Amino acid sequence: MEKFTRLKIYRSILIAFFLLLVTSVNGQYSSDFLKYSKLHPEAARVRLQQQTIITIEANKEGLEIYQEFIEEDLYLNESATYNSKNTLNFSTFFELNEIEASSFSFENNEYVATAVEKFTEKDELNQSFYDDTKSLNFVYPNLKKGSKSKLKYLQKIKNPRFLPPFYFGEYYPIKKNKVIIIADKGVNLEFRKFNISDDKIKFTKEEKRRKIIYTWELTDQEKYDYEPNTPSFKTILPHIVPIITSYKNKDKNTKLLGEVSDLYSWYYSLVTDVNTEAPNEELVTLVSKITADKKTDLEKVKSIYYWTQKNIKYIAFEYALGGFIPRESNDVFRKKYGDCKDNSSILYRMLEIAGVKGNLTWIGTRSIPYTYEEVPTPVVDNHMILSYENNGRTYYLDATGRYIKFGIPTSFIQGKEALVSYGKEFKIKKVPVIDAKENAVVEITTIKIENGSIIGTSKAIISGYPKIDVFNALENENTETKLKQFYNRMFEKGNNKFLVSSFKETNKYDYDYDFILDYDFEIKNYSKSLGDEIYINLNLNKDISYFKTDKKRKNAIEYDYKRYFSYTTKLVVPTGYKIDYLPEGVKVSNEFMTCEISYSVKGNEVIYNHTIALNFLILSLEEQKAVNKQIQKIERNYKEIVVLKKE
Amino acid sequence: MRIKISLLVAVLFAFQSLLSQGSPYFNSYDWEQAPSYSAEEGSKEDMVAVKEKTVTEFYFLKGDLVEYFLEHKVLWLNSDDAIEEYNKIYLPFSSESELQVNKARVITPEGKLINLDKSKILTAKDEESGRTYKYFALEGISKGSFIEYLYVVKKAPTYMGKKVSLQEAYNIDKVEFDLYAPKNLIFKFKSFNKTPEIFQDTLITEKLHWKLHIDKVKKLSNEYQAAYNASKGFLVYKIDKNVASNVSDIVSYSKISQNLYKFYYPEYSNKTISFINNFITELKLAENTAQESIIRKLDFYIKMNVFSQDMYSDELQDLDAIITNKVANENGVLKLYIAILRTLKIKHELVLTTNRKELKFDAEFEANNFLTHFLLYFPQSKKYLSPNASETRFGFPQPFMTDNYGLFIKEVVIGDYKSAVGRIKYIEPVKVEETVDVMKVTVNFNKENLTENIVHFDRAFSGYYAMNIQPFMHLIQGEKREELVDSFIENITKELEITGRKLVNDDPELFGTKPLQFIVDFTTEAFIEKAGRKYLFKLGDLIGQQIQLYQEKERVLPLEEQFHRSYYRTLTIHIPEGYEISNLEDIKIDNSFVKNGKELFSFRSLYKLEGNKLTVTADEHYRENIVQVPIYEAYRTVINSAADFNKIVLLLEPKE
Repeated sequence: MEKFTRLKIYRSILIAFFLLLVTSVNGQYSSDFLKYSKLHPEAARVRLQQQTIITIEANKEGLEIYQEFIEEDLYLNESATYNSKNTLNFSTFFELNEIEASSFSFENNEYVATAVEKFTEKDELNQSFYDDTKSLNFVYPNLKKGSKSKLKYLQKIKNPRFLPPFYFGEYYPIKKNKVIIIADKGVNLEFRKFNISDDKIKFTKEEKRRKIIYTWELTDQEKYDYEPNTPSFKTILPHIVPIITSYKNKDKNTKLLGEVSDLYSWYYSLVTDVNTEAPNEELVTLVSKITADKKTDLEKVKSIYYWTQKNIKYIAFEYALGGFIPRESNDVFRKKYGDCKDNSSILYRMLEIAGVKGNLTWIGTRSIPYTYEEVPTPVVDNHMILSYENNGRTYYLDATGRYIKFGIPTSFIQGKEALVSYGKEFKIKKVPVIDAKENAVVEITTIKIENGSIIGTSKAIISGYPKIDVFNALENENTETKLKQFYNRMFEKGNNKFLVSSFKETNKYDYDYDFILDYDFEIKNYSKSLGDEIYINLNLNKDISYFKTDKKRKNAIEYDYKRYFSYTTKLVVPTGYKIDYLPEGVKVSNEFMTCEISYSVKGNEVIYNHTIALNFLILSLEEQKAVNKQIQKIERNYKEIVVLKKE
Repeated sequence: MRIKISLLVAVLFAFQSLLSQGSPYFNSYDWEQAPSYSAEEGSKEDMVAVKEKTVTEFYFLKGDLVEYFLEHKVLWLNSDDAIEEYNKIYLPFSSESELQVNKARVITPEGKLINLDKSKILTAKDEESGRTYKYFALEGISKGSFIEYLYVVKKAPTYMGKKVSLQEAYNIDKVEFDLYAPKNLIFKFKSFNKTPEIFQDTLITEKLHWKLHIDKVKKLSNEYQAAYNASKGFLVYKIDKNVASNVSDIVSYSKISQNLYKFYYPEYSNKTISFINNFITELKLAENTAQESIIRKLDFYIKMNVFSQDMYSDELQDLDAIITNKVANENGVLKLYIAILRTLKIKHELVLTTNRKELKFDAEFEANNFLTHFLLYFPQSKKYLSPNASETRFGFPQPFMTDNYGLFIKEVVIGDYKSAVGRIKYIEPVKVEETVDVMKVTVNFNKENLTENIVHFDRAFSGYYAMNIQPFMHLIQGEKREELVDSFIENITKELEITGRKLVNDDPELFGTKPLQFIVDFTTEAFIEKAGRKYLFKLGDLIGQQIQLYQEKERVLPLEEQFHRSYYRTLTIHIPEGYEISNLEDIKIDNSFVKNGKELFSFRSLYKLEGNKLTVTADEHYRENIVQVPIYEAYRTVINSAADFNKIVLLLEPKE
């Protein structure tokens, strides 16, 4: 396809900034600047004011909801100019109405305002293939150290179920944060609080002229630091999820949300009309073909599940309620692509054709920490799968990926609540967390020493989530050279002189069986020999070290899945040598992990064994300390060396 | 970064449409109604292109020259990855383009045709860039399917220089490129990277036609640090003559130089002059500041204070507005640099070149597509700056824009007459002495516990190595500063207790004159392993892990580094009393490559033992960026020498 070689000329209304005063050279800073740069010497900016006003009015049609934001920032260092460009997102459900933005630069002892005049719109293509998200972009002029900016905009919330949460913390300090909800008296609200200590946030509720005014106020909130691999920011930042439970108009009371059943009945209303047309004949033929030799329901479901994973590609269309309503299975079958709801829809239908019952299931991925009871609103989930029950066990079928073995859920929904549909009824179930042992990397290696180099052969067996990760990565390694380099990185032993010389793959891309790699390798200059002694460190894989967290860490850490590693290395003692020194073994264990190293001798072989079982997805700060302490003990052992001596 | 060069070049010739030109080619072109594409039986390729056809036609339409751009592809998709990459098609488009034809279909392995419904073609707009995307998802693809799409865009013509790609990372059965033009417009072509020459087809008479049809174009695979895009087969075309108006050599760097000069070097109004002077006052230059210091300051000031937006607008390139609002686009930023340099009477040249990883500047074929990136050149210091790369600073332009040819535009003044001349010269890379990593480490052993070392670590970076950090040091405060210092040590080992940290030359404006220096004191047990009564000291670990270059199969493409660089390492080890090292000779490594008497690459490590003080030096130099295939092995040996050094372990034995 022809690539863009130049930018096309943009012919639209030209920018004209209001120029109130010409820049002059005045090194002076405002008193605000001096005050806050002293208070927050590490911050690049401070939010002086953040105000959110939500008005909820009941009218003839239902509810009219507006959300007004005011944000005022002060920039404390030279990175100010990097904040010049700003973007606001909106969509069918969140309509942007009014916007005003100005920057203020401090000249001759006063702040001089310059209003932003130009706002440009863009269809955002990042989120999904096609959706209704648009962005509005603008640039603050003349932002420098000591400048301020002020933004005010009004948003119409077009579906009362989508009232967004409001946050009391950010990655910069907030001087004054105020949230006001002004609701008609007939509108009933509930507030679910997260990470909030009540003594700091001042809450008031008052009634004024048939309105109820709720106000939260927080002053002097310090910034939160960003840290990699933390659980969702929703588990860290203080926030409140408002819920409109019911409202009254013309003396009629309408129930909206509040109980899980309210949320479910709305969801159910969106899916009742799906898959009402007769199934496509080709689909029927396909199902009978792929289930022909399958004797049990379980086998049938499995073959349908695998067919869907392999043949339906992920492409998401999320326009308006399209983000909530699954498409007809016939359409999905014809297109051979879809999003999670579409995948669930075709799975549902294919199971039905095979005479098996599946249930549409809503679920939040692990990036959303709430239970359905805690937050019974659409904020609680972001994904759809299909549940299938057999013999008291529930199978969670998520066909948006590949290589997912029947019987294990996708890793990003482990431990989460699932809202399972049974017609008008529903159940909340909990997705299991997969045991470490199921996610295993097991290697059995034999090594010889030849002129200081290690020559080895190894069998690696990989199962569970690590297998899925490897298969996904292998898809990109489509040449022999790339493959070898991939295995060099993946199985590196000793140091980066490790080189795989030949390999054989077994069960590559197989959904059910473990992936096996048999390979030969060499590590040049790995052992040391001096005089009549040879020194060799048999700790060729020091995997546990990757799980030692930074002692300066401030937050919990999250991993994709629990893991298990087992390394057995047999060292063939060279002829004419005997074992002079064999290190002691070590074993550490606590509720989060078990780790062991052992040495033994069998004939002319030293047998080294190292196992690691990591039984956690999330470690709190305290737990990290406990785990780090154990890892340290193992790391001390990683330095132990086997000494061989000439006989 | 895209330079909107087309804005700057006025159309210098009048087109005349005197002759009948027939109907456009695309009117009579279509895909096969009943296709019978086939893939090689048992092919293991992820994908193969059955056909990649591009037709560009320049055509007079109501007196205007337009371009009809046709692209027709048939791709066989044989892997999930290939399907996922090609099941979504985005067409190039702008708000002024018009789609004449747009169709797509999938041919399943069973031979079923699935046509894309017109209603499935989506549109996305971006007001900022002025782009409109037309895009669609192809329906019904399964492994082994062919996808086929054909579209024609009518657009403003691109004739001043354009690259046409003729080789890909997959095999192509048939590559076809055709260019049609009215009879008065003569085009010129050049083929690159072993691509055959195009030839003129004289069978048709109502228009001019050049064609290049190649069968079986072998895929080109990418390699580690190769200039991959620059190495694929392609051709470049441009308009050369208009025989109707008797104009020749239409695209020439001498004309372009003058046009660019007119645009970037205008006469300033009095109002603008006062704006410029205000801006200069903001720089707070002391009197008699040396030229280099002025440029350094100017570069620092503009990059920290003027926000550059990737968007076309007159306002964003109007000097008065830029100086007032401190917001500009890339053209505007360049205009600002030039205005200040001219006012301060600092001699400079405007340089245009390419990113050598993407496309090598061709020293012979003059065409606009080679003028993609701007540099400013200062003859007095022989240094460059990249005006539009905010992460770079004076003296250290974007490295891939150097070691490449470029067009240098220089102002010439003869009496009152001012003009510009353009010359093609080589943009020399920044000298090796300018980018240096100096490491000095002193190691003592804890007498009470010989497995513990007390380390004094001093590391200084200059040039490109300091450029990501030093100019931004004032933005890194408090804990973040400590984390930055620590990150340099943690790169070597994480098992340590830091007892002291010091930063030297952390003033951002010292970049380019003084190295940024980190000094850390720490204790660690990471470097010692114990074997019975003996200790193994992991000397090599002190320099941190080094890159190991593997070569599985023969190198095909040259390797391209960013910049020349040197490492100087001095490791001083105080051997604990009562111990000696029995394998000092392991320290000695000496690998180098000399070409025409000049040492291009080298790694040398040596030692000196005075009493119990062991001094190890390990120096490394890279004085060539573009490593051609014949010298690749020599380069690899030097690179891997550092990785070998990293594995050195010294044996400490009790003295007999």
